[in-house]
Amino acid sequence: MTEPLLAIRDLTIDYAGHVQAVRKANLEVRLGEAVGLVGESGSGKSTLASAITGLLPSSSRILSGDIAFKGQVITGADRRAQAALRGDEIAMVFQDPMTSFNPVLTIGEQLVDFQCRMPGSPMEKLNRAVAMLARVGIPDPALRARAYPHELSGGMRQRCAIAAALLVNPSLLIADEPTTALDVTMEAQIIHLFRELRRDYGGGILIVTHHLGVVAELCDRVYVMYQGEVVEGGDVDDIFHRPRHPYTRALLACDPARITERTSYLPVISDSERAGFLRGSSL
Amino acid sequence: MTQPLIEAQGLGVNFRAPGGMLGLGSRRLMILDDISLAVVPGETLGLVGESGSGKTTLARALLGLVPRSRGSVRFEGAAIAGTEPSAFRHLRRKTAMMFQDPVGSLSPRVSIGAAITEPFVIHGAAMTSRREAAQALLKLVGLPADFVSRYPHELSGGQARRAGVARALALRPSLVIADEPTAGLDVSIQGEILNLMTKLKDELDLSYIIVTHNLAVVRHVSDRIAVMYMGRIVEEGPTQTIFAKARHPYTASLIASEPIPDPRQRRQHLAITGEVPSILKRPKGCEFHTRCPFAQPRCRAEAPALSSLTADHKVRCHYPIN
Repeated sequence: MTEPLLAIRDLTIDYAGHVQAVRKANLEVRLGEAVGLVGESGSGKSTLASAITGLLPSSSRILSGDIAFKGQVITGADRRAQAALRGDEIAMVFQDPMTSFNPVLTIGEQLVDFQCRMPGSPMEKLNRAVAMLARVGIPDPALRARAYPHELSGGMRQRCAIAAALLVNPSLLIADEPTTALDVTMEAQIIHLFRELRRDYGGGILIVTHHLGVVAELCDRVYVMYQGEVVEGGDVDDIFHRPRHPYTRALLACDPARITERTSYLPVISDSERAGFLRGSSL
Repeated sequence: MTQPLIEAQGLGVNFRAPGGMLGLGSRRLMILDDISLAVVPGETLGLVGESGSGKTTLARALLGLVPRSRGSVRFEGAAIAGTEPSAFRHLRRKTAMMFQDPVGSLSPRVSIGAAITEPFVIHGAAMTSRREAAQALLKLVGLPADFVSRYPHELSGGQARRAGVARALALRPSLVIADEPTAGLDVSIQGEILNLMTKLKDELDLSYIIVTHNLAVVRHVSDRIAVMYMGRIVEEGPTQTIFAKARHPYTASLIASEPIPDPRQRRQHLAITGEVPSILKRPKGCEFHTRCPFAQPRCRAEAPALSSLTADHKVRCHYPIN
């Protein structure tokens, strides 16, 4: 079996020395694969994603375990090496496309700036940016490159953010809640775009989301996080149809989108159920 | 037939778009047009549509928070004369709004207890003591009594949402308008908030208008839904009828766009492409024709009117899906 693109082994991260946001997490992403990381808010999924990109806040630290990228351990590497990796190999798309762009620069200027480590004249870089905007489905890409972020709709901004991430031709694309701020119609279009990208680029995609529908539509494999632990991971069909961990079962059961018959009361996860989820899975 | 609690007839809202020197080039922008709907006591109406479709503006116009430009609003059978805030004052006690951003709609410097009892103070309503009133409200929405002295930043999203419910219900209104009650919440918490709203509806004889873009939510909680597109209602009818067989192509594509949490039912084709056109440049004819998979020449030329398919199912389309 080939070496995974990204391998997280027994990673434990704590905040301010007492809260363990991530506990002994294991996760793998292989080339050409779309992997989902789901969990509720506070489950540690965003902390885990930040650790991969080396963007953990200074109040947190990695207690044990490591992250390997293409077989090389990147945790503990010096900041310059991490920054280089972030630019060339790992790219990230954030939830809010409005805040990921500078409001006073045009989209085109920013897409040129993102290529600062790449060869080519500014004109070549702009052409590359326009071609990438066209690739992610922006109509009139040359015109849009001259627009400021506020002139674009939320869906368009998210497409631009994906274009920005892809410009450096990363082997790993991490998307943190990429569709949460969008309408269903735009969400469906962005999911469709990610599917095309997975097919065409051959890199790995890690989608961090609380939306089970997005995972089911897009991912090959999925990891479920609960209270800092990866409680279950596996093939997407197995997780959705034969979930083993009680938390996964409860989470799936309470998604209103999975309940097609009208009910006046929706299932919820009770506190007593929650108390039982991590019992037995000792540290 | 029961008398509607709230009823709008031909409601329209215009905004003024600034433009030109000294505002001379300002234009009137039509935000809402030809809105007619009614909510009878005990009913839940879901208002759905993409962002910018006018659903929040409609909710606000019904309560006079946005002045209407055309049409009428009747509350408990009595027409509301005028569009001034004072014209709506008498229904303020009987109506309440739950705003979209639960933490943002609570003042960061006001304790939860003070925030949820503010309606009593504003309306000079009787209460035993502010603390007791607050604790009774917290109990109603399932929050612990010691939340009285907490501040919004100490609450989770779901708890802030409950506090919003408590404030909306303080004066025991008959109509509650909830703007995106589940937006930004985890699925497990969404269920808790919706269950709380259903329970309180039965206990307190409430009627709801739920504004949302989440179809899974309206499907479970609303009796009827009204689908909005670019400021007009394009389809309205019983929730079950519409989900079983949507007649407007827009409704059908909205339903088909919702991701299905089952990897065995992946959709291979996009039900709808493109974006909502700008209201600065409304398409001629049927406004949905630019994205409609079934558009005909007539759709590009002539705007369809809202017509009745059955007694309780209306659609604004020349060629409803059969």
